[in-house]
Amino acid sequence: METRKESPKQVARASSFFSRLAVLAILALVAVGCGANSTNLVAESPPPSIDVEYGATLDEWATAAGASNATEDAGAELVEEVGQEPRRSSTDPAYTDVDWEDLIPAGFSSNEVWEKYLAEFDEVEYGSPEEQALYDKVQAEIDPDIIDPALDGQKIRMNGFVAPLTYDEDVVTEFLLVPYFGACIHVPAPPANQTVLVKVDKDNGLTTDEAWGAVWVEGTMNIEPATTDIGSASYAITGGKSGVYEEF
Amino acid sequence: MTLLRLALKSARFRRTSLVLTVLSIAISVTLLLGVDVVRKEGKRSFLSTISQTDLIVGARSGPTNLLLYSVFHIGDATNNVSWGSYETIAARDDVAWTVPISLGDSHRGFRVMGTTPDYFEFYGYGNNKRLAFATGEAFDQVYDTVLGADVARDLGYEIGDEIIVSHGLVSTDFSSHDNKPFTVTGILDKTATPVDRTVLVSLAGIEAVHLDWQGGIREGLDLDADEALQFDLTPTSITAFMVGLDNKALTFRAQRDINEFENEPLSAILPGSTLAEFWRTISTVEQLLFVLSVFVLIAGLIGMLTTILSTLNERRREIAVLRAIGARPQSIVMLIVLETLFVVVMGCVVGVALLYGLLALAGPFAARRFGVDIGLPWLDATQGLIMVSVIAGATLLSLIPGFVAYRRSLQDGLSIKV
Repeated sequence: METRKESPKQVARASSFFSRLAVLAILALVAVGCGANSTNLVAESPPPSIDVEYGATLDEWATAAGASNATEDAGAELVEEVGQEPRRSSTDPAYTDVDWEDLIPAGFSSNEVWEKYLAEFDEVEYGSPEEQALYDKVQAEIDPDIIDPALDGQKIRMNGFVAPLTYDEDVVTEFLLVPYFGACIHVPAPPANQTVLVKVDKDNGLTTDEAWGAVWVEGTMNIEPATTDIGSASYAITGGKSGVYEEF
Repeated sequence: MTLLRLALKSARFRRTSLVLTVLSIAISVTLLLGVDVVRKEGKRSFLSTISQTDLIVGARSGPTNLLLYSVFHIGDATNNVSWGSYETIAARDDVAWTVPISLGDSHRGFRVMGTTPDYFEFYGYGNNKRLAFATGEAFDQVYDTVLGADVARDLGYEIGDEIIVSHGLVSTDFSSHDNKPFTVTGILDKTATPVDRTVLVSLAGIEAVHLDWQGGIREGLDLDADEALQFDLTPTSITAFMVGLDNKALTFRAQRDINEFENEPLSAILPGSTLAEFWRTISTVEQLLFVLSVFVLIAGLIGMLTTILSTLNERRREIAVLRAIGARPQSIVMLIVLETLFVVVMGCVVGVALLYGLLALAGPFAARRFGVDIGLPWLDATQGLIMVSVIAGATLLSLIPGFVAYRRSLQDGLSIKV
């Protein structure tokens, strides 16, 4: 019984074919593995450097920080469901960035109301009934529901957290935007002028996973009139877009 | 294509072991896909169970507990809400509508819920869908009842039929309110929510049947249906109530006020948030299930590898013959690879078929037990990707026996030393 010897050329051809096949298969597997389901929420870029001198005031820091963050995409990577990119807020200048404090009309925020009466508080004795009366007066003047009618019809961009109201499949299409996380559970409630009702269509909505973190919302601000004569008006953003807020 | 035909013909001779291999791959594919499908469908169905309701209020307990018993009819309330508290809150300025509900009875395994006709107007689910009647209309008299779609279908009820409601969650003849039958006046359309499995009656009906049950069992005072109507049937307590507000921006303030209600310990939840929160606690389990399924798949693939390797010995003569008639060693490798490819693809096909079969069979059971409706969805991109990964992985693994066969084919020649 003889074993047939292969010529070196045949062996070389066979093994090269074999190794090519193996390489191809490994590449295919790697490609498939990379494309598959993966959620990766890690802030990978270093924090942006802020160009301010030592000893600067808090306001200067805030301005400088705002300037450096505005164009830099220093956020996390969020890849969901076979490589879908997260929606970015637009840099459309038509949309103005609005902070939560801006929702309270000028002169009516609790800080400003307190400042008006600071001088009077100095004159009143600590623990006296006059002080209590003054305190009650201040509280009465702070109306947590007062809204700024100047914002009606404005195109704005806001950041906040989500309390979902309506789902369409897996997407939150209607939600309340609030200033801090946990507003939906047990901590004291945000007042009506710090709660914005947001309605988006399904393509611009947030998935339930995205709705857990900070989100941005862009759209036209409407002032919903009070539905009853004792009720109050409120903020709403309709026909807008929403997405995950990525700046840390 | 002669190689493929050759591979198939060769496989015919080893069909028993190959069929078993196909089955093992099929089971792992079913498991992998099944976990993904059930997760997605369950989530979709779960989140669309209730909408258009701003708050749900019940006796103080955890938010998940309140959500589960009031909406999904899973579990029980810890306590009731007094009628006085309900009326006080319903009379608030910011409240647009309320719907009280009263749970505790059942009918042949389906929960009975007492409520007002407003329920049919204000209960919303999915994408702003409302309840609709397939036949009939809402209850009007004390002893009228409306059935959910599944109740009517499973028990074969029609308009005009009479049903007996039982006390507690299990229906027996000694715990039933058999002296007060209810007449079916309406049957709802299918909603794919727990409403389908609910028997709806009026609050007065619930009060009427419990008039002679004050001590927790049926007492001596045996009132029949007509006698009961002479009493005041305003409820003294309810299980929970749904609230719609005028202005959604005031939701949090209303919620806080109700949570701090002085007369009685109550909890108010935002259904949307609580649904998401509850689903989040399950998500760890989903991920764990997925990891387990991947391990099952690996086990299946290694089993397949073992089978092919062990049969290689039997095939040495076959390979020798093939080499004799001119097959190159590469062809032998391709033979093994093609056979594996065929087995895996068959495994995927059988796996998918098995998946749909199981979904069709177990779907109604899941709906009954967990209140979520899992249909028969098409496979989506992720699931297609899973199958491609399975096929790619198996093909890769088949290179090992392929390599072994290739080496042996070089060593053996025409006659083999077995």
